[in-house]
Amino acid sequence: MNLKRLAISCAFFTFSVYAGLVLSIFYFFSGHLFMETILSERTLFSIRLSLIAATLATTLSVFLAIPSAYALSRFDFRGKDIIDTILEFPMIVSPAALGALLLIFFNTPLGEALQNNTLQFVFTFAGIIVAQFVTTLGVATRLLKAALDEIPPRYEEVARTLGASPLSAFFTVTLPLAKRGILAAVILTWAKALGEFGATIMVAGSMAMKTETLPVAIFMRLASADISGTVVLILILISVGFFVLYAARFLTKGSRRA
Amino acid sequence: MLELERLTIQAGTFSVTNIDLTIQPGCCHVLVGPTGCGKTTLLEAIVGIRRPHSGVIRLEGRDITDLPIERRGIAYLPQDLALFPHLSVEGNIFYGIKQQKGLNEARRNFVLQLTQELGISHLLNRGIGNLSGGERQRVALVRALAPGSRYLLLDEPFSALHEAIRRDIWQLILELKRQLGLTIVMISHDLKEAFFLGDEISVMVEGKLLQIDKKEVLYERPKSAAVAAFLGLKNLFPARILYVQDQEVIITLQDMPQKLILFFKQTRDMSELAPNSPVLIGIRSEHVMLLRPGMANKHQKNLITGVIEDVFFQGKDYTAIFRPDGSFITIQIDVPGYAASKLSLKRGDSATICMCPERLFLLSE
Repeated sequence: MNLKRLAISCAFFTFSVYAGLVLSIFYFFSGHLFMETILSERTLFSIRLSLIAATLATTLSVFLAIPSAYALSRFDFRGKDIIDTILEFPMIVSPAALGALLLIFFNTPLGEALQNNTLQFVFTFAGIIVAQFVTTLGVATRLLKAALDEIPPRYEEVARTLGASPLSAFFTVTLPLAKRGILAAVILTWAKALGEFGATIMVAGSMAMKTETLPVAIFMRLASADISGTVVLILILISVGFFVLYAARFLTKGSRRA
Repeated sequence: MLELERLTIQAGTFSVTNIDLTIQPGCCHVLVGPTGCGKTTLLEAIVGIRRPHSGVIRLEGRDITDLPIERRGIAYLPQDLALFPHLSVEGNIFYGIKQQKGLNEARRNFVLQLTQELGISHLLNRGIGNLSGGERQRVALVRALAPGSRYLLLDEPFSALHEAIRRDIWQLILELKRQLGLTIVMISHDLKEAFFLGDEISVMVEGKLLQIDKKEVLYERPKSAAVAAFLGLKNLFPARILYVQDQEVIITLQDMPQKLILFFKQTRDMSELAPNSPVLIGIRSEHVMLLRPGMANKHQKNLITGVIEDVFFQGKDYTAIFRPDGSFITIQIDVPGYAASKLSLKRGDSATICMCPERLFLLSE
C-alpha cells in the first residue's frame, strides 16, 4: 500500500469512527418519542437555557478576547509568552477540573465576597455563564488571534498615515478585514459553550428546570436509563453542531478568498 | 524641510546609525542601497511606524520624533500599496478625508480632479481586486495625497511594474511633484529609477549613509569604493600616488608589469594625498574613449595601447573589454552603437584608449 492510499484510508477511518457513532443512535430512535421529547416543557427549557447561556457566555468571552487577541497579535510586551501559553489552560485541564477550580475559588474569602456583593454563582444560571465563559475564553482568544494574524499590520499603518487614530484604524480597517475570521471564531466559541458539560455541572449542578443545559439533560436522562430521550437530545445537539461547523467552515473559506 | 539629526534606529540585531540628512522642500530625495541595508527601516522611522533609538526628526522645523503616525502629516506608499480590499476605489481614495472629521467640499473636488488627471475617475465604483497594476499605483497615489500632505514617502512602490508602465508612473510622479509642490523621499534599488526621479541621491550600506549628493555628482564622483561598487562601476583599480603637482596628480597603476602613469585633474582638495599613498582610481565605462587607428593625438593625456579582448552587443550600445599591453587588468568601455559600427570593433583588434584626466576620480583606500 503506498503512502497516498494509506493516508486516505486513515482519513476515511476517522470519518467512519464518528459516522458510526452517530448512526448507532438510530438503533434506539423512535419517531413517536422524538416529537414527544422535543416538545416536552423540560426539553424546551433545556434548549432555551443552553442557547441563552451559550450566547451570553460567548458574548462575554468575545468582548474580552478581541482586545486580548489584538494585543497578542500586534504588540510585543513583557509576559506575552506566558499569556499566550495560558490560553491552552482550558484545553489541558479537563473541564471538570476547571469547574472544580471555580467552586474552590467561590469558597475562598475573595470568592465569597464576590458572591455576597454581586451575584450568587454556585448552583445558579449565573454559574452556568461563568463556567462556560471560563472554558471558552482561552479558545476564543486563540481563534480570534489567528483571525487577526491573517490581516497584515501594514493596513493599519497606512490608515494611520491617512489620519486615522489607532482605534479608528482598528474599527474601519482591521475589524472589517478580519470579519469572516472573527465570525467563524465566534461561532466555534458558541458551539464549544453550547456543548460544555464538565465545568457547568460542577459549578451550577444538575437541577431540572433550573440549571439543566442540553449536555446536563443528556447526562441526567442517561443516568435515569431513558435511552430514547437521550438519543433525541443528542440529535438536537448534533444538528446544531453540524450547522455551526458548516457555517464556520464556509466563513473561513470565504476569508481565505478575500 | 525634512531633517534627520543623528538618527539611530534599532531593528532587532540590525541598526541604522547616526543618520544626518536634510531634504529641502520640493526636492525628490532617493535612498538607494543593497537589499537589507536599512532603507525601509529609516523610512518607517520617518513615517512613525518605528520608534528611533535616538536622534531627532524635524518636519518644517517641528520635532515630530515622538508624534504618533496620524499627526505627522506624511503621506506614505508602501511597497505592497496596502489598498484596503474591503473598500471600493472611492472608499480607498476618500478614506483619509473621512478621517479628517467632516468632508471638506474643496478637498473633495481637488481629489476628484486628481482622479481625472490620473485617468482613474472611471474606476471609482470598482473593487480593488479588479484593477491592473498601473491602476492600483494611481489609486494608491491619489489616496496618499488626498488628505493634503506635501511630504510623500515612497517605499519602492513601483518595483513590481512592467518597465513601460513604470516610466509612465515616474513621469506622473514628477508632474505631481511640480504641480503640488511635493517633497518626496523615495526608496529604490533601481538606479535607473533613482536617477530619473531623484534630485538628490543618498547611498546606504549596512545601516549607514555613505554618500549624499546631487545625482550628477554622485554619478560622476562616488566618494568610496562601496558607493562605486553599488553604482555598478566596473573600472576601479588600485593605484599609488607618484606626486601631486599644481592641479594634477600623477598616479601609477598597480597590477601592471610596466608602470602606467595617469594624470588626474584635481576637482577637490587633495592635500591629504601624500606621495606613495595607496588609492583607488576609477572611471565610468562610458567615459573611456576608444580611438580609431591613427586618431591618437600626442597632446592627449592618459593614452593607453592594448587589445580588444571581447565585444558584447547590449541592445543599442556595445561594451568592449580592453586589456592594456602587458597588464593583468581589463578596462570596460561602453561604445555607442553608431561609433561601434564606425570603428568596426572586433575581438583581437589592437586599439588605443584615452582616459580623460577630468573624468578620472580618486578614492582613498
